[in-house]
Amino acid sequence: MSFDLKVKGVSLDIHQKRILSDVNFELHPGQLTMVLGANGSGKSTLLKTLAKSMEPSTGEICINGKSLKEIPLAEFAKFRAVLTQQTNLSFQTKVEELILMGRYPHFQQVPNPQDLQCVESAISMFDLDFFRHRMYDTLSGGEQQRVQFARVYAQIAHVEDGALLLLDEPLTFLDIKHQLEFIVLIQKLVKEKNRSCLMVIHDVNLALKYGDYFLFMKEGRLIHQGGREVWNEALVHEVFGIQSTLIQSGENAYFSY
Amino acid sequence: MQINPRYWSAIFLVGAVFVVFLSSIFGAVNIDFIQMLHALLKVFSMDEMNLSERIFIELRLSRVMLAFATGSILALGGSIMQALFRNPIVEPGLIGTSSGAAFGASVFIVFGASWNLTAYAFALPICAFLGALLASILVFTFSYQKTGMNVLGILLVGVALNALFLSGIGFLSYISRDPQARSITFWSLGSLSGANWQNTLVVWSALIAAFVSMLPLNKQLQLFVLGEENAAYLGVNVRQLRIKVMLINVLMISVATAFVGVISFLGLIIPHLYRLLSGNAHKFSLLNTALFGGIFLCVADLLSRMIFAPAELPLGVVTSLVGVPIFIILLKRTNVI
Repeated sequence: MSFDLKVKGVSLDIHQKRILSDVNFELHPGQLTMVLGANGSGKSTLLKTLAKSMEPSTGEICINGKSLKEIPLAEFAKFRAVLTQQTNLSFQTKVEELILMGRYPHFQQVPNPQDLQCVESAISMFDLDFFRHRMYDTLSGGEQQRVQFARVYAQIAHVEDGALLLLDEPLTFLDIKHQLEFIVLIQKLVKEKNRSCLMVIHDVNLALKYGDYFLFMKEGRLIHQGGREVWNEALVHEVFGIQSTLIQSGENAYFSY
Repeated sequence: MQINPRYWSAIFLVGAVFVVFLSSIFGAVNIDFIQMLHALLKVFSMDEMNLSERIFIELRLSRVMLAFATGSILALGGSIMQALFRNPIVEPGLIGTSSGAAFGASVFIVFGASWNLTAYAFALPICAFLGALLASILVFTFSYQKTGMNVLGILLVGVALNALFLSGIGFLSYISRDPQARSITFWSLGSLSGANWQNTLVVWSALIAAFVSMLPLNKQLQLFVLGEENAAYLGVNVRQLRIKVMLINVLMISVATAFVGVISFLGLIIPHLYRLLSGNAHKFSLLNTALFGGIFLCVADLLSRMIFAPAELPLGVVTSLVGVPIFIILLKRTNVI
């Protein structure tokens, strides 16, 4: 089964203010789609409408031909996972327990063997064996985000084909080393597990290097989209309002600003 | 310090049996084990009981069981409200429930006789229950928004209404005669001296109903630890769950408070202590918190009867006197403070 997600003419108003305006695009499995734009351009709102935590005022989002409105939230949580910026817990919680929370949409009272297996594979995938009995609050920011990512991974780990991964600026509070580690992991996950992935990101150069497809937002509108070829200095100026130079060095290209 | 929640269940179960047994023995009249056995057997065989056997069954045992159910309800309420509001200093009466109950009870104490209400059975608990419901409905009404309910709004309105009802109680004590004012104070500090099998059964029914309705919701409620946004991403209908949990809390706390008055601190401290003991494990958390609360209130009641026997200390005084030091020692030992 292929997984196809279409965003068709989505607009969203909050208190009569237009936040999203006629957004159209598609997500494809195995492709890392990145959303870029200045603060307040509607990136996070776009991600939230895909996550079904906000509803479009007009237009619709279709998954395999079915409108998102018709998919119950509890059902959606079985194949759609969301990683946010930083998560503060209200109470001390053990790392293992926290990762298991990713499986809560899948079991009633007692986790079944598949749930425990997903937790184990998340723990080994994110190299958390050493932390599993530690309390979340005692970890560093980078380690905490790794635990959250493991929870999000575990949520959809069993899905062979057709899972949606939404990442809302997951790199924001990480240092450069962790940012690189994370984005490589994300890329690997998207390719190997064939995930459809939408990621909101601020860093232009990380996006350029690791993204497959790009959406550029400005004032609630999707002003450009396409593969790596759409990037140029004029676009960066239009989207972010800064002057920059595109520098080609061997295999890599990056913007200097 | 942290052990498997399953072992805590075992420890608490054994502890509960032990504590119920112990608090049944001691009191104004001590009863030994053989007498207890005789009395219990006579309940089932419907034989005539002697005076001390009747004291044991009708007064002592019903009181101990009422204490246990009330402690369980307060601890459960505290546990689910703290999870819901994502805040460890929330107590179950926070949204006006217990001060509303105290206000209802005070109205009855001051005006009950002149309104000819004193003749009815359950008149005081019914007034208290209505007060609790009134307060909670007011909190919900004032904090209701079209977009749902805002948690901070509920807390703030709850605090404001608590203050309003407390000053209402103050006013009622001020205009009342001395014995009435004493009754109001006594009621506001909680007491199990009115225990009989009728009200014990009502409170147990409330406990069991609340427990059974919370069981399927508890897993979702635990996800609030990640924040409401993440809970929603894990498939929880946050608005619906919030309303269900608050309703369950209001109903069970209203019933318990209606019969025993306001018991402070227990609902705050027991969930907190259990969380420290278990590392916030979700497994068995409802059962263990309920058992723990029941044990704690039985012990507090035993102490309230023993310390100045045959006089009784108000229960709320004992729960705070025992609870606060334990709480601070545990916070110190687990490096929270």
